[in-house]
Amino acid sequence: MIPAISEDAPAFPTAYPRHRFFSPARVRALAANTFTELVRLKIFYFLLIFALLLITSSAILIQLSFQDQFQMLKDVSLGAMSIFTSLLAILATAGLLPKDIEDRTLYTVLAKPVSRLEYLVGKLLGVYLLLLVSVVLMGILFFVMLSWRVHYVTSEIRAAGGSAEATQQQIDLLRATAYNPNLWSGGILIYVKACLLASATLFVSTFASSTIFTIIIMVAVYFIGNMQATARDYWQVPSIAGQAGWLIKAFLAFVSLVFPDLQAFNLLDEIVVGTSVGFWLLWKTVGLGVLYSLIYLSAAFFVFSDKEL
Amino acid sequence: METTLSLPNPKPRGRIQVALATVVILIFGLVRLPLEIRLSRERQASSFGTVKLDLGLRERLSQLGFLAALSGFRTPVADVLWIEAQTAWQRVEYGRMNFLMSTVTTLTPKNVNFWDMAAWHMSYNASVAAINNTKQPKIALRSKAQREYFVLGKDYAEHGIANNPDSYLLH
Repeated sequence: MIPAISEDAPAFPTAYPRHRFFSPARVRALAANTFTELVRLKIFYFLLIFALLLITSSAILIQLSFQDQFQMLKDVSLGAMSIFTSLLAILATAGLLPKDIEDRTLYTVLAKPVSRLEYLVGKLLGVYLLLLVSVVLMGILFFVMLSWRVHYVTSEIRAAGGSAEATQQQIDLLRATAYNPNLWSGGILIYVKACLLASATLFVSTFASSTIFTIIIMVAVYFIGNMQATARDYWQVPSIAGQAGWLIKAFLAFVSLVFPDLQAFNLLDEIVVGTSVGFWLLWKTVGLGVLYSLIYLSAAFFVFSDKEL
Repeated sequence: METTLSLPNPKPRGRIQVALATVVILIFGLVRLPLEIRLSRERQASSFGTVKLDLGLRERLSQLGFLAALSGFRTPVADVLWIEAQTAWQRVEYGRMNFLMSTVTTLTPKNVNFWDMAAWHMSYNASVAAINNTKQPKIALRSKAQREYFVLGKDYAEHGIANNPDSYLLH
């Protein structure tokens, strides 16, 4: 039965909810969709390679002393985590815009009341989520492998015999060598660096002509970014800069000002050997990464907002 | 009367936008520069990033190894060289071993284990191998080689202490 319409009710609703320029709900939907799309590309298969690398390196390192093998297992694992996450950030982000344009998904999305800023932020958050899941999964794999090695070496020490006190001392030293609480800081820095690279890739892809162009540019940015600190030091040191011509100075200034300082996030080498990262140093570095990501996102929006699609 | 419809020419805005975005990044670069310099000093004060990748190191590493070291993978490169040094030890090639260990300790000066092992290999294993070297008939030359390996081992220990003053292991 159709309910009767009151005579006082207006023929049409007079007050619609006002369209907001930026809606977290729309961004969340876009991010979830991007994450699902990337997962369907079977990106997580690289975890198998990571696991294989850990198992192989662990088998090779068995001939070394236990301090050396734990040290090297950490080096190899964190190094692989860093390179895999950086590659994932670049490759996953580089294809986002061109793929959406090719599939015409971009037009469907932007034809709805979705602003271009929401679109970009949603896409980027989807990649950030993917990177987070990757870092966490790799971290778990690494921890499992480390614990397995500790268990193996502990049982070897126990089997070797000796006094109970000496055995316990050796096991304590082994655990202290293997489990280093600073490794968490390493994981955070790997993630922040990958987010920075994803933002920079998104910016490049807003004006790039193809995916391959974006990837090549970003690989170059990665290498130059690792040398940015050296260029900055040369530019800033008066004794060195004084001898250089204006062209070299201009080049050093350009590299220092345009490229991100990726060395700031390369603290893993020292973290692995047990150097502790101070609380403020860690958060300042994370802050720098967030600042970089925001600037690259703003630049991407600046270019994308007026782009002819 | 015939009327023609003229459409406005599309403006080449894309390039302008990219140029403006680059200017924004340059301005951001100027703002972040003092922050980065301060952060870099803080890192060095906390014993991070003390390794300088210079021409001397380039001569000792392969091109690929140097590139990897430049890209923030110093310790994995050092690990590979350390395994090579272990292989050189098994082949009784102490000269090559010294070269590799010197590169490893330059790449990872904060790793006390590498300094410790390098000092031990040179002072004990290499020096004993030198004095027992039957290919060298003159005992005086064997003794000289042994003393040189002692000095090398001592150098590793001293450099290790200088790089890791807070560690007791090398004393």
